[in-house]
Amino acid sequence: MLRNLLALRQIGQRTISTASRRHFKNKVPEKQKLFQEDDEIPLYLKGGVADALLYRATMILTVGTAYAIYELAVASFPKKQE
Amino acid sequence: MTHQSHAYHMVKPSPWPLTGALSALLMTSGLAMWFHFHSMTLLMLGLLTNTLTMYQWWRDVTRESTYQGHHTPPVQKGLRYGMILFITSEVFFFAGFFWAFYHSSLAPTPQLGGHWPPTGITPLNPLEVPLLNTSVLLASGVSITWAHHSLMENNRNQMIQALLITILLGLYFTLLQASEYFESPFTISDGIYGSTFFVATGFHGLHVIIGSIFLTICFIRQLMFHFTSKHHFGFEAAAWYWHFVDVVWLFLYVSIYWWGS
Repeated sequence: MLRNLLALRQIGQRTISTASRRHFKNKVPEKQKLFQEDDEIPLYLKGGVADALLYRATMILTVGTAYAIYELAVASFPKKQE
Repeated sequence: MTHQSHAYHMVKPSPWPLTGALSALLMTSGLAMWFHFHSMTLLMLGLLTNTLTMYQWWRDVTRESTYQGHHTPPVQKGLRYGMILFITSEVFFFAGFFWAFYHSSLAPTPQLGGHWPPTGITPLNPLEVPLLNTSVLLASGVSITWAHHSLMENNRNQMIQALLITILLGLYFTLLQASEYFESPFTISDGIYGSTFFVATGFHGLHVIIGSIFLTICFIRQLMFHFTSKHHFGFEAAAWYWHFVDVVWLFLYVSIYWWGS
């Protein structure tokens, strides 16, 4: 009985030990090469075009909005006429 | 390429602290606009920019560690200290709400009827959904430990399964708690009982959601082969946070749900 149990365990382990047969390939070495390239590009842009788009969107939304609020605050207080 | 003669990580300049700070400004002023002028635009902008900042900041941390190798043992040690200190600060955050609860419930005022639960409040039965929630979170604590051990033993598929189970249990807790909130006979405006109940359990629920997101990020990273059997601090940090969330729930259950009924 115990031998059957051990055999079952072995089968279970055999299917587990192979990597997932789906689409996940280990791309870490490629990424390591990409991000270690000696090209002076800052880390937050080093991934490619998507990085630049995301960066630009974030900066426009944050700095742009903060600046807009500043202008609104200035406009809310009219300059005194002498 | 690298010229440093020490094992520490001198982080390169980054725009995310600026955008993070600005997003905090937008969120807080957005809250004020929502409360006083019934407009959610600024708040939504703040939440969006906050999310963008967090995504890019932590994406960069993954790039610095997994792809560039900056997380040497001393650096990892610093990150461990950091996570422990952060969780400690969260413990104090919750301590305040437990203080408030015990302050009001240990000496109930005449206005409440001189007893706890106060007059007019029908508390939730601790042996129904709250007990199920307790078992769900405890089970998730077991499954995340299973995931960790699988990871350390290089058992990729079991790690993925166990982490998935943990995330699903977290989701189940959140759904159960949401339905409890919906069905609850009392609301947050039902005196001090309602306030202490919903603020304490509400912040806990928020932390369950945050923890679930952290675990999901770890799940994705595990699928992408980021973790090794020896080096997986991101996962350990998520696991610590998850256990913390579980422990807070146990305190909530015993104090508010059980003793408080």
